[in-house]
Amino acid sequence: MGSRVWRAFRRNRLALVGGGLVLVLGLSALLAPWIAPHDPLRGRLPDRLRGPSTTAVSGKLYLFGTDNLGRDILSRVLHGGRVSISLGLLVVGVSIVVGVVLGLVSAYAGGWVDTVVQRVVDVLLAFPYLVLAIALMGLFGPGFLNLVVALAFKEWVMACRIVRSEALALKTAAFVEASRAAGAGPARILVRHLLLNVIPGAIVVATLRVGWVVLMEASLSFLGLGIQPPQPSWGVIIADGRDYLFRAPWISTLPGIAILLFVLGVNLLGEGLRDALDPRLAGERVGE
Amino acid sequence: MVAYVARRFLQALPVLFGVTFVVFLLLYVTPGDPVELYMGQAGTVSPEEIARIRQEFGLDRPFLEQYGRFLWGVVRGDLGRSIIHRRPVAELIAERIPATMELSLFAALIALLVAIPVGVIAAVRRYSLLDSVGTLLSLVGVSMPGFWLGLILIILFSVTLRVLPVAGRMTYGTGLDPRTGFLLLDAVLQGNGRAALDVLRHLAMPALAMSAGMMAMTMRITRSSLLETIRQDYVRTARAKGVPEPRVILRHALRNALLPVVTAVALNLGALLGGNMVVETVFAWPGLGQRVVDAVKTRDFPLVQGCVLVYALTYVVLNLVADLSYAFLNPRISHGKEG
Amino acid sequence: MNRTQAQLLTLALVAALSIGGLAQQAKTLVVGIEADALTLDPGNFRHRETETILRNMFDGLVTRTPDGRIVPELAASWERISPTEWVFYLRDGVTWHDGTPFTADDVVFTVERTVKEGRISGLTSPRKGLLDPVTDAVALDRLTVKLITSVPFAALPSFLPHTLIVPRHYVEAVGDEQFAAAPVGTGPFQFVRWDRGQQVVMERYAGYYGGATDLPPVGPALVDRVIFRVLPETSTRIAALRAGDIHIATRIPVDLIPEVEADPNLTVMSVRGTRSAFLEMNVNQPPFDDVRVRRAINYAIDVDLIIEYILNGLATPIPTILSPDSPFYAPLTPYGYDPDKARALLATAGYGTGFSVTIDTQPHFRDVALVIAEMLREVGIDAKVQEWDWGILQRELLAGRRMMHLGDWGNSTLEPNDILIPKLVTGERGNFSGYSSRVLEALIDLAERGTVDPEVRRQAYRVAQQLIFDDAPMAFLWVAQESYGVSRRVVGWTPSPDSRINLHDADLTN
Repeated sequence: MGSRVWRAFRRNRLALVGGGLVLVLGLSALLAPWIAPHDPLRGRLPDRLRGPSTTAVSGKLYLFGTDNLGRDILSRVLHGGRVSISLGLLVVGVSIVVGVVLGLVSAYAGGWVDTVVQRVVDVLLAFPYLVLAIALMGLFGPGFLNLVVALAFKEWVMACRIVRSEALALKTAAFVEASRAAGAGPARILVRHLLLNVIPGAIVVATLRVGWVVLMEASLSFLGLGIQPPQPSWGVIIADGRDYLFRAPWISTLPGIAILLFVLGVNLLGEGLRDALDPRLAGERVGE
Repeated sequence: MVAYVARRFLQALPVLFGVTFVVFLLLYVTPGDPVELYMGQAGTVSPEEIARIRQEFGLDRPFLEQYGRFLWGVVRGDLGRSIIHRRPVAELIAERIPATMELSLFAALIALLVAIPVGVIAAVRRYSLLDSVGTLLSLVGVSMPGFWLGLILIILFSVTLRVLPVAGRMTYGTGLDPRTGFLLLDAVLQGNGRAALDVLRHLAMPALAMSAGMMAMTMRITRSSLLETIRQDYVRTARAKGVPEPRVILRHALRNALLPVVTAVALNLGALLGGNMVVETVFAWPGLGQRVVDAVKTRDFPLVQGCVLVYALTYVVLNLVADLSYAFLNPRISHGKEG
Repeated sequence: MNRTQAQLLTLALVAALSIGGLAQQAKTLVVGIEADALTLDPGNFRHRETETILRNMFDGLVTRTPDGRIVPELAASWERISPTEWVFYLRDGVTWHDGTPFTADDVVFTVERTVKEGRISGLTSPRKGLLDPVTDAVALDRLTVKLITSVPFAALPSFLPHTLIVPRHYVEAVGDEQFAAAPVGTGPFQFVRWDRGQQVVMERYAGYYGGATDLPPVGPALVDRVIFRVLPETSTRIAALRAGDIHIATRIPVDLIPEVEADPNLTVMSVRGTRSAFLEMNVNQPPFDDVRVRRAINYAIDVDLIIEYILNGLATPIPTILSPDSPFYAPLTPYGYDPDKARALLATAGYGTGFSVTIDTQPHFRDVALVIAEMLREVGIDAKVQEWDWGILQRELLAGRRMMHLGDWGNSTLEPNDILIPKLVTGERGNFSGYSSRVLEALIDLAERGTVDPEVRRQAYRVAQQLIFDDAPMAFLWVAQESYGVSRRVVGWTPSPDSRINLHDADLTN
């Protein structure tokens, strides 16, 4: 199965591009401490708000310019990627596992299990993210892990909802009913028919949500509730730079592009994986 | 049908109860005293004055008593009085709802009008240039932070081109009398074309900034859902029987493919209504989002509780709408099996 | 003129007003402000922007000039007839926007509504504290009113600009709720409409008595209409200014001043504000329980450098926490930047190898905090920065659980007691350094209650400032300027230190 998936995936050029983007951005974030040209936290005040340039100023090269404290944007974006990407992966990773499991169980078991899970989901969904995030951050105090918890606290219900509704549709689908009639047990139906069939959907959800969490972090930073400074994340850098959009647009532009490319990459990758993972779609061109 | 709706609302009561209790608890344990915050970081304020205000708003009572008073108020239709505004919470919320709904509905409309046709085309002409461009553009849309997109729109359309107003909902002097609070509706009802145009010009940028995410999501779900449906047996059968392709897609496939789309749209609309704090802030849009952000920051407990209650109700209603349309579109799911 | 003619005329007027020609037909001055009014009732808020808006529709007994002097407004003059009694002689011929004459009765009503409990919709005015020792007001005749304080209160006139006088007849007729939605005042502009969350519209009151004679020109306002538009996001406010949608934009951050000035149609006007910035130290815990360490911190911070680079030069260093605009300011020499002296002091205090500390602050002080942390590292102190939500941080600070706090405190009356008490008196709500000095408290008491002699008060506050300087419970930083983006079409307007936007004297050219 592995090689077939890989072959299908390889044929999808957009997915390869997406994979490439994720790989490049992920690696550059991972290697930031070694490849960043300057200290991301400390800047030289006299070098503040310098534009992108390929010539060195006072012995320092600021390829993508500096911010209002004279910190190198490139270095900050490289380091910011570490925070943003790991936040996105952590939050979504935790949420997808919890969401898929609870979504499947909820759909399959029905009855009171479904009721309880769905009521919890309802209560959480009914909260605006922000109110939850502020209250939880207030409780735990600021910090990276606390932000992960504050976001994942509600995030898992997204996957849960969608997995549940897909599984509900599958549950009444002809092939599942046929399998059940043929004597398949609950475990087999859960894993074989439901889990495998919701995985493509879960991947689509997960990819979109990774991007979404990265964006959510940016929004929280915009509202002044994000990661602790001076530690940069992409969202923090954009939010910090928004006041300089006219005068020093490069501050927000580079992290904005980084977010855009990363989310784009993750999404393309997810689409490609989805097509490749779905056996019945392999090699088939629909509507042509 | 009516009985079903009524039952769903009854089932929603524990959810609303749960939501208000959790909010109350969270606010109670979250540090930060509303009266201290209200007094600000300036001047001299005596402890007696702070104590008096706390007493006037019942903040000196034990937790359960405060919650009990709140519930009893809700039952009587009284959401209490805001500490900061010193006006009834119900008024403060009601005056903000039209703005938020107008913006959200407009954003959703833009999103759907673009996303569903593009999604269908992308699925039917899979891997074509149109598919790739549509996918890429929608992904770019969803990959931009809303405030960033909003600021770029402002720089482009207001500052550089000077064709759209920067912020707000209307210009003073069009003679518009905001009776319902839905300004577009007001303008149309009053036959004021100039005002309608003015309102639309104000709506354009924030609605666009808000619709980007929903547009991308809807388009992708339409596409993937339609792809899945297209290869199902009954579609193959229809196709094998020689039914023309457009008819296969529109009559047979799309109807079923819209199931997940409907769920996603309804849930997304909830997210639009509850998640537009950022766009509202950028465009100075006087909606509920801005109000709740301010209320949380100032720890205006009664106002936060009222807002969250409204969000919860919105969610319950939208969810019901999603489930009803789900059942309506898919005859194989009967009401009896739902929740 | 018959009815049809009147209707036609109205129609023509409306058309003339609405068809693009606002500037020619009626001069409309638009101010972009960062928050909406909470209420239009001058007695029922504690909120800077609400006051900024309301002060164009309401006047006080006295007002403050842009250079900080207290001058008569609705009162023509006043005298202190005993340590606890003040008599105000009111201006004759002043009318409310509905034409009713303004009298001493309105002042009595306003004062009672402010200081007595349960007078506004059953609640007590949150502005009671701003008039605090005032217990009552008595009308002596139609235009004379006596204010009575419970204890001698020398600073009373400085507090009065913030108490705007409201109309007894109108409030009693329509009730508190309706008054708060559609008020009547004595100010240069009268209320037209309030689109909540969006704008407050007011028009010139033709019958205006003219305003404070010390603030010329005296007479009705120059522009026909004023709109306060709510634009909370700074970049949006600047964009609106550049797009010509608004003429004055409040709170332009120093970093963005070049942004505004780059536009030839705009200028930036700055005025020294009334907020003193400082770095507070927890004096009850090591290492800051040692005064030498606290002084070392004062020497370690290059205030001038921060002002030059972070604040674009728009701030004044201060030796303590009193503003140079305060009438009791003592011109001491600030500590000044001397890292060697800082290191030496740290060494003598036994901290030659430094220590670790976290600077707690709020997001808007982020840049300054990061730079200060950098400067502290230069003298061997391992300083980190932590940002907080104010609601949480305040509680931590008051509990004495934090070590260093970078922040500021407002003193819009410019009276020393109004900042020294909350910041430095034992157990007060803004005393985040945990400072406690009987001497200081005795000095404040002497100046405020023990004497009516201005010279004794001056001496008391001079000694107090020297004491604060020597004890250094905080590193003293600056009073920052507040900047407004202003269209070059606006003439005759100057910003005020207390954030009042007085549009009475402003005009618009074409």
